[in-house]
Amino acid sequence: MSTSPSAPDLPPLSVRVGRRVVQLPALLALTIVWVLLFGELSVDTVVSGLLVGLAVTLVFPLPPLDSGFRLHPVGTAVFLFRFVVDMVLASARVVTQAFAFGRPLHSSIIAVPLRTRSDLLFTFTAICVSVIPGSVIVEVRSGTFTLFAHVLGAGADDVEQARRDLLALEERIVRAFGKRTEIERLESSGSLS
Amino acid sequence: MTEVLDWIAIVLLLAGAALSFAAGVGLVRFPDLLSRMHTAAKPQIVGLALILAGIGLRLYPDPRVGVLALILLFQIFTVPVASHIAGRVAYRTGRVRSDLIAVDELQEQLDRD
Amino acid sequence: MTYLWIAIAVLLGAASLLGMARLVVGPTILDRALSVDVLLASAIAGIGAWAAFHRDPTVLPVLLVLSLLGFVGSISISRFVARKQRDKAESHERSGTP
Repeated sequence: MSTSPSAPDLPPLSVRVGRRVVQLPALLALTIVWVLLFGELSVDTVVSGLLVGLAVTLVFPLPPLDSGFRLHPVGTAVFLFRFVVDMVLASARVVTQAFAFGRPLHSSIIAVPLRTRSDLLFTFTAICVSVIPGSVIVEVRSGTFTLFAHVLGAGADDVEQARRDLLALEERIVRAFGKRTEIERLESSGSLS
Repeated sequence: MTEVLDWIAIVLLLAGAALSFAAGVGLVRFPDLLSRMHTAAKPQIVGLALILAGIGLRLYPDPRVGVLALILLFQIFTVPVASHIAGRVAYRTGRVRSDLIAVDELQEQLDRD
Repeated sequence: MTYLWIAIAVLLGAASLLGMARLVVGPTILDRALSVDVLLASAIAGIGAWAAFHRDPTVLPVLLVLSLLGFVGSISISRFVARKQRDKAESHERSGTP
């Protein structure tokens, strides 16, 4: 994913300013945040936002994100819909567990090796895992792309189901944002749905 | 029209407040730190989303409601990261009650390393 | 409608009290960090409900600051705990080997 320093090829959508590289998506995102902060869309806010964003990206440069990011409209719609549904279901489950008196609550920590090899999708999956039913990330191995998730209220019988849920979430994310090679890797290693 | 929006807003606010309350109950009742992290991560975010939506409906014509979307976005991205780091430190420093954990594949992995 | 507003206030107040209880009881510092997180979320909800009740958007930037404050707070506490634990382990090793 990393480009060697001897080959100064720029990541897509970026411009060179002096010795620094400005990534236009980051600049755009900062400008949008600035405009939202002021709450009005006018020439003043957009121009000042661009200036502030430029200053921030020049003073605090980020390593270039790998470009393993494509937007598939259908996949994204499916992902967003399931994301909201899962979030509501997850909250309902935690709430019922919070009010379930009397029983001791057992949990499990499961290891889930993901199939994606893109850092961006891996991070995104890790963030989303915390909102799907009953799991919170405890440990991440980025070398082997393995997530360790704490599953609330899962005994030894529920472990496999939780693992399948997690892999299904990964599949939705890859289908929504992954490059073609990522989707092919997913399908070659056995699709779940 | 505003009457209807107000009613929707107040129902959303009420649901959000109820979820916040449930998160508080979970925080007090769950037996160990890792379970408590679930309440911080899930009902809290959904409750906040509902409350922010309610605020948005109440203030609707005002253009400054864009900040609300920003707040929700920051919460969705920061809360899982914060709870992951807390959970990792808790596990690594042995603040986990192993009698409450049925299957622990992380411990197996750490033993293998 | 007034009763519903009162119910919202009571629920949020009770949520803050429960968070406060965990803050007092919480056996470890990480529990306390977590409960501060939840307390801050209750504060965001409460200030937001106030803004909705008065139709007053001036406090919205405060909500934004609070939402980021919780993140920075809990991360720095976790880092602090991890560092302290490592120092302790190292000093144990040093004193353990004669």
